[in-house]
Amino acid sequence: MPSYEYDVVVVGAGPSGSMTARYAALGGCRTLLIEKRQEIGSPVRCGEGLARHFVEDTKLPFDQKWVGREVKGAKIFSPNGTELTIEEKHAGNEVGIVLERDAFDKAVAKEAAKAGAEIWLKTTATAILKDDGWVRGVRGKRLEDEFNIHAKCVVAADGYESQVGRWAGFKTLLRAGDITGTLQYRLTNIGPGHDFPDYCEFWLGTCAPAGYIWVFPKDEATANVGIGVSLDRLKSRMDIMGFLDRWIEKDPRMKKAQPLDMVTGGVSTAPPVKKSVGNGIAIVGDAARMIDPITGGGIGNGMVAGMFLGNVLSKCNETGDFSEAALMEYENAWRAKLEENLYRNWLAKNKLVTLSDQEFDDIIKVLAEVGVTKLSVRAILKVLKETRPELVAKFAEFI
Amino acid sequence: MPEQVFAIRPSVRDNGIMVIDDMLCMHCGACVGTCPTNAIFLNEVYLTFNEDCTQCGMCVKVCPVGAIDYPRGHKLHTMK
Repeated sequence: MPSYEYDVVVVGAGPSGSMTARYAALGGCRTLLIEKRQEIGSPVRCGEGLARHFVEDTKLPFDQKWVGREVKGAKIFSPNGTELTIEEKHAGNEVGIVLERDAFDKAVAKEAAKAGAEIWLKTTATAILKDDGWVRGVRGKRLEDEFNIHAKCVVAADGYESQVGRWAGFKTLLRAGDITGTLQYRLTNIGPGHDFPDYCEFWLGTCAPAGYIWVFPKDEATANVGIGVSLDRLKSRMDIMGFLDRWIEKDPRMKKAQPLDMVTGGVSTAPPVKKSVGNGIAIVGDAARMIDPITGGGIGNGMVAGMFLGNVLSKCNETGDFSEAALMEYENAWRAKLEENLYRNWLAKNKLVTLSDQEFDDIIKVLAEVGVTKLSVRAILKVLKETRPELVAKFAEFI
Repeated sequence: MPEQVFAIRPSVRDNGIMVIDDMLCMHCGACVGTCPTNAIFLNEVYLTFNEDCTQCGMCVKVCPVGAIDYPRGHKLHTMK
């Protein structure tokens, strides 16, 4: 069987994988980035919301090509239609730019290529090569050729499926309550209302049990309209589609809307993995469950972690040490930056999913009256505690 | 004479473990990441189940387009 040698092989050319490959290559690693699809970024599997600051944090050159629309902020709707508007400068982690994800993923991959990484498309990792407690590479298949790719470090950036990590022994299994099934239509010919298309919308309550419905505008008449529902609230086949279709039917703006595409996917709303590195392997992005458990946003966190990982891999390459102990620097870095927020939001999510429609109505009403200056779970709870403490009794431990 | 239909859902594959409708499947991998026994394999655009499957049904529910079902004859089979 043919065999190739690299310092680093990255499985999956999404934002996390490409960002890892970019920084690893910049630091001098001979880097190979493999992607099973025939096109990076396509098909899109994403609601496409991204907070602006992540672009700067990861030094990604800004390009209007991957910007679908820039929004003024977010609107949160309670089940009875009460509207809470939060302007951009306060809108937390996930709002700001609505991306063209296919172009965006290509832009990150371009930076990886520019840094010197090789990219192989239509290349699937079919197995992991292990030896004496170390991961030594992956078995790959490209078109009809099978081969071994030997690498000093394998990076598992294979997204929600998280197969490479599982083969290596990482516990990436999820509880039903930490899994969200999602479906999205890109609808066009959407009518006016609720300041469309200037805000990203989040609709809460039993329209999307233990999840939410989003409307992220793409242009004057077009938006990503999608739903996430927690798996433990689903009873049978096609439930998710039923929830979204019923909501669209009820929104008067959507009366004449027509679909341009359809997107599906799984989203983890779990706490981050207990362990993300081993001898000769690291996992990053959705594969490491770095998605924010409340918003379901994962692009920014994945890119930041990818940047950390690429930098650590560069250091490892200088010393020739890709052991678990050496890679711990990556784990410590992403935990320092992301873990507290991910964990707190996971705990808060577990409470949020217990709220009734009435409770959502009461809470959003109070927030709309008082005004919210900062969209963070803690800030919102603080406002509520001061005005209507009985509404937030369930959340006492977070305040 | 009434119209006759010969090909009925030729896209449905039933391997006795689970059923997949290839024309519904979006190949998004929601089921793969969800499967608690790692019994689902997705080779880019071709989904298969192996004998590690316990028919727990998590994939049936999580699939956003309803492309997965219990096999024919199973009491929870709902595909027409």
